[in-house]
Amino acid sequence: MSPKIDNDGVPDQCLSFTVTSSWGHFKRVGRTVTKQTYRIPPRTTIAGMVAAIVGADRDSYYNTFGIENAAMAITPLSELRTINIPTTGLGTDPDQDVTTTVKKRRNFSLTYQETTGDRQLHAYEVLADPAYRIDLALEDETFYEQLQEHLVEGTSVYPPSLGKSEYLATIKDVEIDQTPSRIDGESTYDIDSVVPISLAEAIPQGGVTYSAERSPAAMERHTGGRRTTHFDDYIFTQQPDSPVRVGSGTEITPVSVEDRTVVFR
Amino acid sequence: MSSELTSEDFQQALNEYWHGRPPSSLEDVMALYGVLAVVESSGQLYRTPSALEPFIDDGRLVTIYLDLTDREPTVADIEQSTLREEHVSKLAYSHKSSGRGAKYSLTQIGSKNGNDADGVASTILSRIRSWTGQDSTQSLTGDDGHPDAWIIEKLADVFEKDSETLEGLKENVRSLLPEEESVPTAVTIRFKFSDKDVESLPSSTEEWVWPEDIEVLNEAMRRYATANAADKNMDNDSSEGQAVGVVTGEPSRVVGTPESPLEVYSVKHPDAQPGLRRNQSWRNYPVSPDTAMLFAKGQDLVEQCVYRRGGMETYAMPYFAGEMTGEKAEALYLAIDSIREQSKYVESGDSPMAQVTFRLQEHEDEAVRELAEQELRFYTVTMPISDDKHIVSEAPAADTYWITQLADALVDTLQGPTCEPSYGGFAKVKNSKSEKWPLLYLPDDRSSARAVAFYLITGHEFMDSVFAYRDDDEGDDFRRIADHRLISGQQLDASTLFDEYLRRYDDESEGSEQPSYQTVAQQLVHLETLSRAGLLKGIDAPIEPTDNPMTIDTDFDTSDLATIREHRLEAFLDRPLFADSEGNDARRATAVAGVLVGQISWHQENERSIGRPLDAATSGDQMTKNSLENTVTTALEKAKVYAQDSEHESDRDLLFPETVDELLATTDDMPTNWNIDKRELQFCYVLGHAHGRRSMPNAFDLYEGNDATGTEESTAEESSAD
Repeated sequence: MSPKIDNDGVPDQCLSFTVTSSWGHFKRVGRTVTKQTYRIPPRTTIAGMVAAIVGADRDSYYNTFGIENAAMAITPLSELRTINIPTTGLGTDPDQDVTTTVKKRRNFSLTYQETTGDRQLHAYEVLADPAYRIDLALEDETFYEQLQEHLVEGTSVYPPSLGKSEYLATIKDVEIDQTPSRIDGESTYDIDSVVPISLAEAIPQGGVTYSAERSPAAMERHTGGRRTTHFDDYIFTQQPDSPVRVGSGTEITPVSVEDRTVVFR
Repeated sequence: MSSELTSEDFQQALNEYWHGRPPSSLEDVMALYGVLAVVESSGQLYRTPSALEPFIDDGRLVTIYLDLTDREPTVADIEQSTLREEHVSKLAYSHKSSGRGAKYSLTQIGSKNGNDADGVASTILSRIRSWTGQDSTQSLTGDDGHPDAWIIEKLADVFEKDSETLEGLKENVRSLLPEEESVPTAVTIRFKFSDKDVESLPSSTEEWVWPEDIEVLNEAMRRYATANAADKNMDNDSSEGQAVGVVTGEPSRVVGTPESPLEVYSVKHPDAQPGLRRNQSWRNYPVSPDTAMLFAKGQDLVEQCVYRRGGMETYAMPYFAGEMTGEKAEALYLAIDSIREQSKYVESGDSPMAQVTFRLQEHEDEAVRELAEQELRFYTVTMPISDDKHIVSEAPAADTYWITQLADALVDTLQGPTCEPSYGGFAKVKNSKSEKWPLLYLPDDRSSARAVAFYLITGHEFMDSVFAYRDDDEGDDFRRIADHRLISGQQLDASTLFDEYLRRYDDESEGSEQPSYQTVAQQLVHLETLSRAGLLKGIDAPIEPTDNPMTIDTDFDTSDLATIREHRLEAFLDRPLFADSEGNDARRATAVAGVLVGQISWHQENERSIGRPLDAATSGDQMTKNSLENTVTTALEKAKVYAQDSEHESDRDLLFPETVDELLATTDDMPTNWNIDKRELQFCYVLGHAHGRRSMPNAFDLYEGNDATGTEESTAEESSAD
């Protein structure tokens, strides 16, 4: 049985897991000079990571993670600290002048990297020791079952990573068959996950700093590539122990999963 | 001009160009500034009526009447008149400020200084020809093009190079206009159509239609004006498609190389982005052409919000976190606009963040003050000032909470014992002109003091005055990263601070010259301020003295130098930093050792004229447990030896007995056995040393006895210290 997601975006069941790595890099759109990272992995990034575990083909899984048929809550567990790391490296784009193709010999041609060229300095902003708890529900039954199997077995088809392939992710504390329960009737909610609201809707708390990010939430396949169909605004706090406080007037549906209060998106 | 704008103007522009969602990204803020700029420039995104202002009443308008009722277009007439205010909107002029060639609209202008008849015939007419031939104009023609694109095709026929019609037009212009006179000139075309030939034509138009009313011309103008947003840095290629805009959230045509006011986005360097397909950039960064235009339009306002200092630039762009309204937009615009003005507290040129905050917080309208309190945020970005753009640090929703906390803490610190010599603290500097020591002076009045403190923090001086110097070309300036951490309420680690402080201590040492005590005093003020504001971690004790400064006991015997010294030492050590922490009193012991070394060194220099006093051997930032042990051993010996021929009676057995006693009371161990980190040891040492060096001079200052030598020496010392 796969989860059913109601009109408020709340699933009747979900699975949860924690994903950590030494480093993380979720490249922001709209920045090229410094490779900057989102503090929160975009919804589409988690989709890609999960698809890697299941072994879904490139560009094949976007519909599985649509706004209507997938629900995801992301709860940061670590201080969202970033470091700028300058790296020197050679490009790997075969169209650039950094590769050489050896003269064809019969049917074989070998392209290898030209390693004598000038190194380029690329600055990467990376998250240090990122850790997130993911609650996930997918209406696609086959996909969801495969995912459960892999998570429970601790296997994956492609190794999951946090952003870049070298930032291999560790997945732990897998819980399947979670049942999110709605929380009603409070005047304010303290929400542990990131919250899809605007800054002004978060109730100020002394000593807590709110931050905002707008990142891709869903994509679709499109003429040989893909394009984003939804962007989301997220609010989160700089202090992982401090939840986002929201009044009852906002259009979100807080639910309880484990001992956390989260909002699915 | 700004005074004439009303909140209705802003509301209208918001309705037309703003997506309605509260700002949440750099793109949102840039687009918002574009909307404000639209209002500033008379409510148009593409049209730039203000560019025609120099022409009004002084310039001429040449109108070409083009009859399109027949199969062949014919020029019915050419007319010249004075360009009047009422013409401006009809011309639908869109200025292109960069580069040469055709302006964005069909209506073209010549030089502001004027063109003669020949100039109009050659230069301006060729601009119209160039406009009709632009790729972006022509992109409307063809099978999927605009239904009225035939108008553009006809225009292209008329203005074809070397065509009879174009040559005829030139002749007519030359004969129409006076040959010698040079007048600022705009040239436009009015059209005559057969009924129902044009789909988008308003029904109320005159027989001869102005460019304003012809939708296809306006669309061509928009395409041309935003062409760069789809093909910048691409050769014979472009990046555009249909997608949901990152700012608008709506599906539309999107472009992939939009204007980037901070220059943080471009597809210029594919080598820096392995695998970049430039013509696909619209997929990852989909920006609608209107949004791209808003980015470009907002550029000037963005530039108001920059603060440049020491090779780095920090943008702090204010916005309101809630839904935008006309009132909020107006308040925001006026606040940004006010950065050009002088501020009430400090001269202009200070950080825009502080200027905007005060402007809004002290607004006469209570609603604006409340808005500032609740919704004011800053999008801050710090980069080196360089062609090679590189973001060092960024905070998307910085508010003023932590800055205010810090400002308050700084005021408290300066009003507390740390800056009160009679309570063992360091002296403040006497006036605000002491730019070298910004953390040691604040006005007495609390609200002015808080304001100045706010300026110090947002103006980078809070960090710059105590952290190690950075070279301009050093790349990531950690001081700016630390600024960003504080603004977003992230604590700084004590070990990081000690390291910075001592590197600065080294920076301030010139050869064998020791840094003046203010260097260390500022660092203690800094550390204490952070601790007070709750922004310090990694140390087991608070830094701020626990005593309320109002209850400080300043009632002590000031007629005896030794008593003053003793009182000051006790008070100096009476702070949590030097308190015994779980059986470890190494910090206190280190500080007392520092005091003794400072005192002995002062004595050697001032009473014995020794050129190379004890503390010259090892500077504070080089101090180790071993060298401290050697230095303290020597200091203790000297204290005994010098005492034998001291003039002061109280020093008969031992010079500075209060310090020696304190040291022996604090610990039985020698420094090599102390449990303390190197940088912490060094910081406690330089603190104590700075106190010790100032021990006698401060005692002379506070001395109120009859001994004339005291006052004389005090004066002498003061002048030498300056």
